[in-house]
Amino acid sequence: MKINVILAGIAMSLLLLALPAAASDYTLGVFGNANEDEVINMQDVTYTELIILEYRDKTELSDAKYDDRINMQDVTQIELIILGREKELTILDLADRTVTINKPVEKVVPLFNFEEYLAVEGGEDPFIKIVGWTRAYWEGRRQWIWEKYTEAFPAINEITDVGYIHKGTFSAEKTISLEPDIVIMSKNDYESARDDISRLEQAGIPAICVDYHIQTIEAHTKSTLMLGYVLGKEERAQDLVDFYTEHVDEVYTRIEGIDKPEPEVYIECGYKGTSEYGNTYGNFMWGALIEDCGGMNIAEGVIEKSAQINPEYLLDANPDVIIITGSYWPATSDSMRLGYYADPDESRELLDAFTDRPGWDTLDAVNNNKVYSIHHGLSRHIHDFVAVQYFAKCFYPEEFEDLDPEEDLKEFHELFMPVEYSGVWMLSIVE
Amino acid sequence: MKADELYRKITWRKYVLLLSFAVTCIITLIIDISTGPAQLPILEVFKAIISPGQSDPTTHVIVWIIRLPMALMAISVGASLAIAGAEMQTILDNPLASPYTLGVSSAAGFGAALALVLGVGIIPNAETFLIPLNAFFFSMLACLLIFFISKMKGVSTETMVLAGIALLFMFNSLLALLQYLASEDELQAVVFWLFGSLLKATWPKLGIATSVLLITTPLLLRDAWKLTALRLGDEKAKSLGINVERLRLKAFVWISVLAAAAVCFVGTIGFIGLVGPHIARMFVGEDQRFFLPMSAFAGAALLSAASIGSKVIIPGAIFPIGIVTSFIGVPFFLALILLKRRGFW
Repeated sequence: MKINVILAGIAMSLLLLALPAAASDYTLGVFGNANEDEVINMQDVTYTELIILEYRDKTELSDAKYDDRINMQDVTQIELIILGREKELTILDLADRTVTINKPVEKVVPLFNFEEYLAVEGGEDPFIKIVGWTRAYWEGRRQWIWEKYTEAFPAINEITDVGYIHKGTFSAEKTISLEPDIVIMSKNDYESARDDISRLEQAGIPAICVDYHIQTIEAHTKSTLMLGYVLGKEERAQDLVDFYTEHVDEVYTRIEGIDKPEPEVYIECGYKGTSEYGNTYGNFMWGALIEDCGGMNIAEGVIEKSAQINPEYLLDANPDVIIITGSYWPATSDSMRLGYYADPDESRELLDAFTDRPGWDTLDAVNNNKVYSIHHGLSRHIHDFVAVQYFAKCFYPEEFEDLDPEEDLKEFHELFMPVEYSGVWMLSIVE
Repeated sequence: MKADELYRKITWRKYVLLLSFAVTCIITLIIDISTGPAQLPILEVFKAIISPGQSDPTTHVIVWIIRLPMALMAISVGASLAIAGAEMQTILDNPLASPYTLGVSSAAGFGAALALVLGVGIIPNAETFLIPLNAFFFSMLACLLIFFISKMKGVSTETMVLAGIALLFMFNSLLALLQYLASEDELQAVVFWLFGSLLKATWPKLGIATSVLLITTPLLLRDAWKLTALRLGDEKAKSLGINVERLRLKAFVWISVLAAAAVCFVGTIGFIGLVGPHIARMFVGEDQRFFLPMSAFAGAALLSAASIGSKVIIPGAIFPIGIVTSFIGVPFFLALILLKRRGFW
């Protein structure tokens, strides 16, 4: 008896020594992640046992069963999660909401961030669990992406549309009638859809928020890993996160080492074409990305989020680099065009037309041919690493000569996307 | 003899007021041209205006392509909207009337949104003028509808107002439908068009808007006496030998063209058309010989001041001018109402 206690004591002490403190930068927001790292594994089992034995303090996510008690049931739950056999899973989502979902998740209604969902889900037909979605996320909004996907997966045309939160057309009733196991939405939309979400919850349908809009490595990582646990695709999610962080870390580390004056950058959404200035961005979205990539955004401090700049201000600021974002916006014929079906010559011609704006012939960026275009949908997504790479290349061509963002976007498609890469997604004014 | 003297005295006072408002316009115009994020010295700005081609290229572009068209457009549009508002108030005998009362702005907004959302134009191959042309076309369409309804049912103020309000709601619904169909980017473009912006000003557009102003104003002034008489009421005007219905329709057509031409280039900058005439009326009264030009000066000065404000509030960005107009105009307007002893309608 005594010996047993001593042995147990020794074993525990050894475990204590062997157990690393939370080694990772980001915490996976799933209850059961007792040691607050990026993954749920045997370490969490040990950690929870230590909490039960009062060798460790309770942590925020240690209550795996989410019943206000830490006991052996939590240990069992963690083990079930590791085996992928849990009946329920409690999540702390990106809007800091605690949500319990039933597992396995077989019917999903995604309302935003389809690319991330598909990348984590993977497989021959990554749409298989989707019983309803926001059709306008692609159709009309990113028409060419919609066409690309409907070409490869004609069946997605039949997926029920539940409306679009942004436009106030989201229907909670429609969603409830589809009886999904979970609704996945963007944190950005949560506030405006709060009432609808509470209706869903009353019908027993949980909704979780991901957040790619904030564009931090942390939020990207947490959102993706969370999707992995929800869909039971933990490994794929981890691979995706590794792929992403590897690419952005590479750029950010190198930028830190560059000792050159930061280039001044002007970025504009090429939606309105050449005759009128489109929106530029403050310390937000594209604007924030410029700063992250070692550029100086000339609209910083002038524009709050996104708005037109005074053309006079631009001419006076005389930026070193100009970036016009492109997509498929058919309403304006001279809008910047990029994407799956873009043609390089046509896109370059459109980009060139922007430099004919009054006074632009006096700008350094134009005279030095430092005018670029990038697809508007390459920000605020898990694939925004491509934008990070491309920006770094535009700002510091010599330091990043070896980088090939287009090649990496291709690889991203091969590894994670259900459709093949095609068209043009980034472009310089000179070939 | 005494009455004659009194009349001359009053008239003289009105001329002075008119002149001082004209001077105010010129002053705001000069400040407007001198203001901008590039912070060019005023002397350099005037050198660039007087001897173009000799200043450095950036200054030249800033002054000639960006500042001048915008500043002059403010004057031209402000005057147009205020005149249109003044006459609309006169023919409808209603202090709440503005150029937009009879659906001009909602029709223009719908036309613009049609171009912005669907890329659909009324005249093909008119890229740069697609949006203004659409806006103009639809506001004229709205006016024509009211014109014919009035012709059929008799040109009373009630018929015109009711027909106008019906059209207003119809075009607003159509606009809402387009906004429903639009993607976020398109939606934002529509919303910003509706805010109004002088950034769209270019020399050709300025030329068109100003020509319309210069053509319609004398046409309206020609009927100045008759329009003044109209304010006495339909019966009295008729007894003075005026064909009230004809006058009303004629004035309505010129107002519509004037308002549509102004709105289609810069978007709906409301308010000016309502407040400009009221300011003018407080100073010079109903006599159209003074009331009409005074409205023009008041509107022009107000929009010009708003244009300065829109550049100064956030240097580098352009604050939507429609919002600034209200911020500047409302306190001024309220102060006038409070200070005025007699009635102002």
